[in-house]
Amino acid sequence: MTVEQSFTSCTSELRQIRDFVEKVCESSPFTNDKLAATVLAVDEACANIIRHGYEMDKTGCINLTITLNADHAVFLIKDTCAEISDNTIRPKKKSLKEPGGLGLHLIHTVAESVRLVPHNGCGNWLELIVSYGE
Amino acid sequence: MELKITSVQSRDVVALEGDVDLSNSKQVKQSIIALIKQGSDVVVDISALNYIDSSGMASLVEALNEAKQAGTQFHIAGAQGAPLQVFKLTRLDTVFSMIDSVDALS
Repeated sequence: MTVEQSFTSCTSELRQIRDFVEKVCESSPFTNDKLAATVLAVDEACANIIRHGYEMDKTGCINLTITLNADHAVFLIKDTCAEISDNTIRPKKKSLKEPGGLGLHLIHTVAESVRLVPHNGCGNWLELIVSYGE
Repeated sequence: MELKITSVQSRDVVALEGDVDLSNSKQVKQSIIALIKQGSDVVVDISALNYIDSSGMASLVEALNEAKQAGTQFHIAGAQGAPLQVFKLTRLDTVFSMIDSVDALS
């Protein structure tokens, strides 16, 4: 099953994004805890796009495609921001007691795979793969 | 998100309800740090919190650092459900003073 929806880059949309992920994944085998963590990971990725990609400009677009496979879910998050490198999405080696970098840490803790998908055209396609198991 | 401040036994209790995310975490940080700068011991009651993201967690970390500098107490009370999971995922449950409830301090 694949479902797609677009959102604006306004921070108030993060709530709608979380609700969308939760609703689409209702029919998946995610446990409640894993689903909550997955919602968090997608939210963190979108929040990073809003904060660092669109620099809090509310007029940008975030397109989210969710594919539910047999044993995992794929979240493809597309933006139209300036292109970023793989290095940008790697967690930074710093103390979690310091503000900053927590979002990336959470994304990589929850998702089995985090990568930028090569594509033609502008923007970035960020793919998160999350298995249904704990 | 709702933020209510009450005073309980000489401590300021900041009760958070709903969702704390990028849209409101700055407000949370400013409210808590303002209390700490007044010299208050602060308890952040998150028993009615549904969701907190990394920006909310970063706000709490900054408040904790501020409290350490000011020499005041800072506790997190009533963590449960998804917010508690975020504390554990970030391992910040070992950094904060986590108490079961605001009443635990009485």
